[in-house]
Amino acid sequence: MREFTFTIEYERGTDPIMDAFIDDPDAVARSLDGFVTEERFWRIERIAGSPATLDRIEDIRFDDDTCGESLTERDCEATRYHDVLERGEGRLVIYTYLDGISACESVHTLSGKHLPPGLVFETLRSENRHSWRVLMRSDAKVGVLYDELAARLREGLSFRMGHLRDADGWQRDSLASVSVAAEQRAALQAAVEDGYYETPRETTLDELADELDVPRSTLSYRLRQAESQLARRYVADDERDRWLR
Amino acid sequence: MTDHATDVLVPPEWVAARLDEFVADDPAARLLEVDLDPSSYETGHIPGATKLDWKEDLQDSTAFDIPSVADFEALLGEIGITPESTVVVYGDMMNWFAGYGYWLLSYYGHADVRLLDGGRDGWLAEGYELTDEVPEFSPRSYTGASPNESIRVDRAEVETAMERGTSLVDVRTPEEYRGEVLAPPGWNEGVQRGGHIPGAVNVPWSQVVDADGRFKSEETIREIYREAGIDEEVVVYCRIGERSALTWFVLHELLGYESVRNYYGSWVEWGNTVGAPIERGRRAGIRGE
Repeated sequence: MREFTFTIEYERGTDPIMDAFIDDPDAVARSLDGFVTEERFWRIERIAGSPATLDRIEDIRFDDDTCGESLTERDCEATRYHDVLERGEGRLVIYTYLDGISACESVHTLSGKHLPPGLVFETLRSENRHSWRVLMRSDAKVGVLYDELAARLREGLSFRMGHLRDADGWQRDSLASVSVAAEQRAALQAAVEDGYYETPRETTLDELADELDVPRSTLSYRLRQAESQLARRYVADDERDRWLR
Repeated sequence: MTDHATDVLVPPEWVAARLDEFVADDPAARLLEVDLDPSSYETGHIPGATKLDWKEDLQDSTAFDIPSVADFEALLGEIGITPESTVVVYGDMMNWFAGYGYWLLSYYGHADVRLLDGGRDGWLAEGYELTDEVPEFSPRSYTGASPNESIRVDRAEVETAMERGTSLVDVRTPEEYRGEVLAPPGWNEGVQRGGHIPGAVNVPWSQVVDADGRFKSEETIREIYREAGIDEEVVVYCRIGERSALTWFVLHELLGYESVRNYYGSWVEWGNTVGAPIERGRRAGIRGE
């Protein structure tokens, strides 16, 4: 199995879905997309963000006049089917099935044109970036895909090359899509970056609190809340749990 | 109809109306399909079209150059083309490699060569007939090919051109132009250094075709190159000189620029040349900032 990764960057106002992520920098979405044939694909996208962002994305997805997939000037003419699989505090999971996509110009269709059937896509949206990991049985024609993608993006979109190599790993950081309040995320990020979770600890709560300019008690509370959320989601996401309960 | 007042660019209906001539053994009219993905031909092609494989037929991998005069003449003769034939070239991916086929025929002085507007996809989009029948034409003798050096440059001439202030057009992707991508994935066209020839402006080859693969109107294309600050004297290049051939077609054949030359060695040669100056970073300047 080979993997090809790249990121497409969007200027504000060039894609309705990406605008939602640009406006809410705390929002992230991860998707798993399966490409059935050159005509159709499905996708499950888990989005974490504020309720307003989730409402906005849901509205765009269910508005049949909005394409939300095309990279070029030409809008997709597919038949779209969307369904909400999960809607909880700060998270939304949408199932999507698009049929009749061959005239559309999305990553899916361009990949389908040049790569062998059986493609799997993992994607991550955050702020103005939509990152793609394309898993394929053979990369014989990936050069053509690269040239077409990079050359045909509409104005306001730009291409950033990742890598092309043997595929390794699967959804290693699925926890990243767990919804944690923005201030808790900031606390966690600072704690990790400063080595608070190293053994022995490389910083203290007092130092971190100073850096973040919050009272020690507040920081401590935020970290505990975030840790408990992550721990509970992690256990709930465990494979056995998903299949046996 | 095409939006261009030239007979070298022909619309699908022009070809469709002449299919009888293209399938006939009479060498007066021939169709050539040159695809980026040569297997496209096998999935169906325009009746009478002969496939040319850009890697096998249109380059000499040993000399790392275009085919020699002798090879070129032998190739055309074998597939039933004479110097008097009207040859229409088309291909996939917006004629990317068909444009190179057109340039090569022009370089060797073929008198009547045309490009099908929209290429393979344009033909398909119009719903015209496809076949999987591979034509077999009687071989002909093709002689008199002779290189037209006024449409090609080598590295030394590019250096001279730079000194003279000739416009340089880099048709690669903005990432390659800026030097961020050294080895394009999936292509054996990597170089030691990233960037572009100093002074070159970046006008990616795809900017001059619209979503359905047809060339934009003459006025629109002219404006794109005017904004990019391109003069009448131009050198075009890409990675290996193939996509730039399509830009050569646009500038020389559609817009009628006085002097347009294709740098066949392109970035693969320049980027790997010891001591050749390069420039990097600079934002892709289609708007001619």
